[in-house]
Parts: sequence; structure tokens; C-alpha cells
Amino acid sequence: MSFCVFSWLKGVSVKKLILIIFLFPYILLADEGDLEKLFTNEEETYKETELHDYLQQLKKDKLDINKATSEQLLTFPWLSKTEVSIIIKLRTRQLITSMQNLIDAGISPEICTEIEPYITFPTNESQTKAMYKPIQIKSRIRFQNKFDSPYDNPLKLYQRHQFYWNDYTLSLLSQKDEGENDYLDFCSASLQKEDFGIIKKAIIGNYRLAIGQGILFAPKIGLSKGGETTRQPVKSFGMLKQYTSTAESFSLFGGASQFQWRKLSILPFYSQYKLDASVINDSINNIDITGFHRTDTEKDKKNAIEERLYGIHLQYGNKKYIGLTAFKYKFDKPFLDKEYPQEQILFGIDYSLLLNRFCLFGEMSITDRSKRRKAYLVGLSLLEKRFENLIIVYDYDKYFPTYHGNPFHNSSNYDNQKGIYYGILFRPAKKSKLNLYFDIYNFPKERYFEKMPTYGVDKFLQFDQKWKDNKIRITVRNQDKETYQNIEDSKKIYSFQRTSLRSDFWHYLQKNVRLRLRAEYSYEDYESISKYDDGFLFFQEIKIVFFKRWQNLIRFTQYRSNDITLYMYENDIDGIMLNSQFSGDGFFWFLLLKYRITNYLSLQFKYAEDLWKTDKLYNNNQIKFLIDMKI
Amino acid sequence: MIKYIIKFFIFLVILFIPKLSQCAFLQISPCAELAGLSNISGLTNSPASCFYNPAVFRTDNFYFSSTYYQPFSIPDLIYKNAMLAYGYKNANMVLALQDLGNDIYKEQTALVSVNYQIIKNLKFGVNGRLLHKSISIFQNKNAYQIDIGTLMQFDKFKIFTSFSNLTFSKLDNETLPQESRTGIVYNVHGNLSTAVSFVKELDYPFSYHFAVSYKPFQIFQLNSGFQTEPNEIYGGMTVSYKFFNISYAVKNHQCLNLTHFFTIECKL
Repeated sequence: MSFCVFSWLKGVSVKKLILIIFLFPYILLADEGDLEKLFTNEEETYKETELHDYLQQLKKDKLDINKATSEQLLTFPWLSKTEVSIIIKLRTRQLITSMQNLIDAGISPEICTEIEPYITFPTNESQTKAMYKPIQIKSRIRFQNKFDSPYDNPLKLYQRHQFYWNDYTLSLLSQKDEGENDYLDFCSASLQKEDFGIIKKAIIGNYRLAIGQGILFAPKIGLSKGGETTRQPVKSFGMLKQYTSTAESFSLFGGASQFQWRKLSILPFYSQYKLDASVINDSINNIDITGFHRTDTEKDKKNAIEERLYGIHLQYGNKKYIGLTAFKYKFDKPFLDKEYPQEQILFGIDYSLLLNRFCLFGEMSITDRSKRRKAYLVGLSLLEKRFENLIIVYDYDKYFPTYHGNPFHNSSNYDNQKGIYYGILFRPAKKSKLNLYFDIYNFPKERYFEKMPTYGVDKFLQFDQKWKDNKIRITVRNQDKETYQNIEDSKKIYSFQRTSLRSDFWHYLQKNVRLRLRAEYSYEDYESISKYDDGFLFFQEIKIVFFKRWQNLIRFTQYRSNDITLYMYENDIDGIMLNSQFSGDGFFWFLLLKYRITNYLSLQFKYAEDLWKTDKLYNNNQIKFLIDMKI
Repeated sequence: MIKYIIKFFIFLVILFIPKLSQCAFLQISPCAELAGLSNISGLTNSPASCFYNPAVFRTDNFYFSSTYYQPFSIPDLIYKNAMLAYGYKNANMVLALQDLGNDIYKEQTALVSVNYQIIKNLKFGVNGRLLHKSISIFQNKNAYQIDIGTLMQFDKFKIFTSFSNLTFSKLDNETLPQESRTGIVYNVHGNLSTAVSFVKELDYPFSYHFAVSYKPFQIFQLNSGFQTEPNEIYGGMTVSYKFFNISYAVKNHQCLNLTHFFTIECKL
């Protein structure tokens, strides 16, 4: 044992040795740099997304490429309908036993590299059968405590338990946020049965829907734009799923069932769910989506209103499909603002037409005559091996109901927006990739107190280059938009620009020691006034691999900003990417430990601390602990 | 009377929003195909590209085209042009007339463009323009300008550069736009090309253009692109049938309405 350690340490400099002494040897983690590409838009506060959670689960329980449904394959952000179609066709001819089969069939090697950590290739039936267990239980419990919390009860507790038996899945989840006293403040439960007769899936309890491009129904947490410029804006989720998110306000509760007969799919659904809202004189002032119940005011809002909705979705086709949706919602109280109807019927059409390398997709929705509003999105993608192009055009009317949808958009609520998105992916060489997007949008009608329409332009460029054991990524992002701000006691619209220049570098110091470096410069500029703010952020991160059961990551971040907020995704427990915000000057560091005690039990621990902060605006100090069990 | 007021208002719009519409003298797209390609001249052989770079266009014999559109869908603001081109061996030539405006305000250009292939991979071109501006209540003004351009062609790449208004010509004591355009075209594979171009006008910030041209079928071409300063996104298509090409393009603008371009070309 000592000989092994000595030979491993040989050739390592003193500085590296000091670092290593404080670190346990760990498993090499999958490259979070590629996962972070999906969440490049750090200005949006990010919680655990369904996609991210799904990918993290897949890393542990990989998807059998020979058995995965097209729905499951489409949830990969790197696979388009064209590529999924290639995989499905290939499977009818042969068993897929390696990545080379996919490359030979026409999937680019770069995409194969992206999906490799999440898929598996059972080579024979017995191997497939060996993966099947009669009963399986997966549990996750997460504790989090922030330092200097203003709340009496700062503990954040999350637990999720899933029981699998044959085609049944029972899911139980509860969460308590920081500051809340009720340990079961949010609970969700659902029972799912799959594949019986013509019923493909049926769920009773908390569930979520996703239809078309998300105008009517979509997982509410998720980012529209990111580093995968030609894939990420195109929504493709499984239609019906148990609700496992911690976002308390976006669940549906009731029952839904997906019937499948040949190419025809029918999905009736019903929901009756209580929501948090601010109620004045028995009318809804606004719906509270934060889910916090810490203060008396927040507690008064809890479950203050009820929404009832029911409807049906019909879809014909798989790779090429057309869908129709009709549903009605009704709140138990009217809205104070009469522009929002208490009840309404909505209709929608969604489609996806695949022709060779082109895919035309879109969704259009319209409300009933009581308050006629419409929303549409149309997209066209061209996918060649070395070049991809995506154009999306969208227009959402003001006051269009946004309660359950989450299509491509550029602000917190997606109504009152229209724009065009243009995305490009270019692979100039084997290990190079260039991602580029250009997004023009505006909010045509008045918002709040503005008297003029506001617009925005978002430009993004990212270049990745790999060579040997190194990788470099250069990212440039520029946002040019009008914003309503209160600056120097003057509330009005300002023309505002924010530019970020970032470079990331990955390097293997040794085979099992990886270093990552980042340098970032951001600046903000208000055109009409002489206000110019900038900031720097640097971090150094090291991961070490030694024993298979230990994982460790440590990062040191230095930042300096002049009245500008800097953003950084940091690794959190269980692979979640947490969006940290910094302002002023300071030094931030965190340590992340993961220990797999057995194949069925793992522990994770994280400690994060912000040192020498000059600005107390953001509190990033925390300590977290997670237990993951699988039986 | 109302019509007169509307036209006068349009004249004011043209005069006082140069940054938004790049409304320096006739800086707008001369044909639909180029408009769909974000005005990157190197992506097409169309004679209309001589307005940006006199070296890049090429035609095998006689060529005629006509373009029509309303910039930003502003009523009474009409752009139209007509072009005649001829190519013989290593030389090509274009005669073009273009017109923008209405009864109150009008900008017109007569252009002669010639290019020649000097050596195998290198072409050189030169434009001579006569510009005429007329405002109904003011005196008419004329000016001329000379532009030059080069094109280098390789197996999968093209590099092009052009400079406009080398003569520092002025109109109404104001120097006409002096632009430098440089770009690279890359042929990804036979029917797919991409290009990026950088444009610098003396008094304006750098503008970046990007475009893609894709020909899924021999008779059908799809174009798309975007540019900055001002921020615009373009899309278009060209349908070819025997001697004719019909092109359509649309562009948006960060503040103004859409512009729809139409061009008919005839190659003999």
C-alpha cells in the first residue's frame, strides 16, 4: 500500500503534493464541463432541472440503447429526431454493441462522446435479464445548512423515495426549505403503472405534462438557451411523467393516462391542485411560485387558491407527428386584474415533420373567445454531420396563460414576447466545435410603467478545442437590451449592455489528477448614462482519482467586481450545478466529497465558504450532506 | 395633403435614423438572394454582389435581373433596381440602375462594374457609381464614387475584400459611406456553404455578418444569416427553373418592421 502511494507521488511537485495531502484520492468524475455547457445562461437562477436530474440518474442506471424508447432517447439534449430515427432503424437490423455501430450508422463521433456516459450495450439476452430485479428501492436524503442564515430554522431538508416493482413505480418526496418550520412543508406522491394493454402509462398523484414545444405544458424549470445552440432550444420531453421536482408550484395533481394504439396516442388528464397566492378581497392578486413559507406573510399565501383543470391530448405519429390539445382550467377565485380570466379553454396544435436532414416543428395555441389570445412557435433545423443550423420564430400575446407552459422565451413569464433565434453549430475539425447563437426579441406591449416597447439582442459564441489530455473553451456573450431600472433615484428604461469573456482550461496533471482553470471578465454599460461597471473572476479547481469509491473536488475562486454581479456554476452534491452569484471583492472556496460505501449506499458532503467578502449581498456559505441508497 | 405629409414624415425617418437602418446612402440589399445571405457578397456569384464587392460576381453570358421591395414595410418607400450583366472569358461586366424613395425624397444610382481574373485564384474588380439625390423642395445633388474589390479562391475557401468610396466623394458636404468589407466563405460540402464577414464603415462600429447557403435540391436554395449593427436576422430562398431564378428573402430589425425582398433573374 505504501509502495503504491510512493510510486504514485513520484514526480509530483511540492505544491501539488500539498494539495494532494489535503485531498482524498477519488474516482475521476465525468466531465462536468460538458454538462455545464447546457447551463451557460447563468443569469437565470437555476434549480435542479428535470433534465439534469434525469442525466444524473442515467449515469447511475444507464439506458440500454437497444431497448430505450424514442421518447427516452429524445430527452438527450444532444440527440435530434434525425439521430434518434437512425438509432431506431439500426436496431431493427442489428443489436447495437458499441459506439462504433452508431458512428458507422451516421451519428457523429462528437455526439457519441456526449451520450456515452449515459448508455449501455448489453450484448445478449441473459445480460439484459440480469439487470432486472423484482423490487428496487432508491432513496435520497439531502440536508443543507447555510451559515449566517437570517432564519431560526436554517436547515433545508429534501428526501425522495422511489419503489419499483414490475411496471409499478411509487414515488414519495418531501422538502423543507431554509426558514420553514414544517418538515413536510412540501410533499408529493404518485403511483405509476406502465405498459398494460393499450395503456402505455398511467399516473395517479403528482405528475407533470409536456406537450409539443411547451407553450401549454412543459417542465417549468429549465433553460431555453445554452451551449448546445442547435439542440437545447428544441423541446423534447416525455409527455407524461411522475412529478419529482422540488419546485412546489408547478405540479399537477390528479390522474393522467396515456393510451397508445399503433401510431395514435390519447392522453386524458385531470388535476385539482392548491397553489400559493396572494389574495385580496377574495380575489387573486398574484400567484406565488417561490414555494417559501418562512414568514407569516408567506404562510398566509400557502394553498390559498385551488386550480382545477382537465383536458385531452391526441397525437398521431412518432418521428413525424401532429398533435391536438384541448383543456380547460378554472381557479376557485377570480383575479383582481380582469385581463386574467378565472376560467378559460385553450386549444393547441403541435407538430414535428422530419424530412431527410430537415426538421420542421412548432406549436400554436389559442384561447377561447372570452379573452382571445394566441401564442405560436415555429422552428426549422438543418442537421448535417459537421454543420447544424436552427431557426426559431415565436410570438406570444400579452396575458396568454403561462401557468403550465415553458416554451423558448427570454424572460421569467413568457407572455408578451416575440423574437427570432438563430443557432449554429460548426465542427471545423475532429476535436473542435463552434457554437453560436443570435437571438433578437422584444416585448411589444407595455409592461409595468414603460411607455415604449423594449427589445433585446443576445449574442453567444463558444469554441471548444481538445488535444491530447487538454481542452480549452472560449466563451463570449453579449446582451444588449432595454431594461427598467432604478439608477441614481431615476426609474426609467435604460439601454443596457453586458459582455462576458471567459476562457476555461482543463488539463490532466497526471493520469488521475485533473486541473481546471477559468478566467472571466464581464462588464456592463448603460448607454444613456455614464455608468460602466466591470468585474473579474478566476477559479482553480482540482479533482483527484485514486480509489474507485472516493470522489473529491476542491475549487478556489477569486473575484473582484465593481457594482456588477458575477455568476459561476459550481458543482453541488449529486452532480447538481448550482448557480452562485458574487459581488464586491472576495475569495470563495468549496470542498465536495463523495464516498460510495457500498454499491447500494453512498454519502456526499459539501462545505462552501465565502471569505473576505466586501459585499454581503449574496450568501454562498453552506454545508450540505446527502445520503443515496439503492436496494 | 395627407399623402404628402406621410411622405414627408418618411423622408424625416430616413434622414434622422441612420444608425438604425444603416441609411447611409444606399446601404441596403440590392437583391433578395444577397439579402437572405446577410449581404455577404462572396457567398453568391450573382451580379448584384458587385454593389458590395466588384470582384466576386460572375456570369457566363447575358444576365438580367430586377428587384423590388419596401424597406421595413414602410409604405411609399420603395426600392427597385434593374441590372444587365455580361461575361466573356475572364472578364465580367455589370450595368445597374437603382432607385429608392418616393416623390419627395429619392436616391438613385447608376453603376458600372467590371472584374477580371488576373491569375488562376485571384480576381480584381472595380465599380464606378454615379449617385443622385433629389429632395423635392431642395436642389438636386450628384456625386460619383469608385470602389474596388478582390477575391481569392481556393479549393474549399474564398477570401474577399472590398473598399468603397476610395475617392472620398461627398454629397451635400457629407462624405459618402466608406466601407471596408472582408469575409471568408467555406464550402462545408457540395451543397452547403457558410460565410462570415466583417464590415467597418468609417463612422460606425464594426458589423459582423454570418450566413449559410444550402441547396438541398438543384432547383432550390435556402439562405439564412444574421448581422450586428444593426441587429438583423435574414432568411430567404431561391427557386431556379430553366433560365429563370426567383428569389425571396425576409429580414427583421430590432425595432422596425419586416422587409420582404423579391428578385427575378434571367440568364441567357
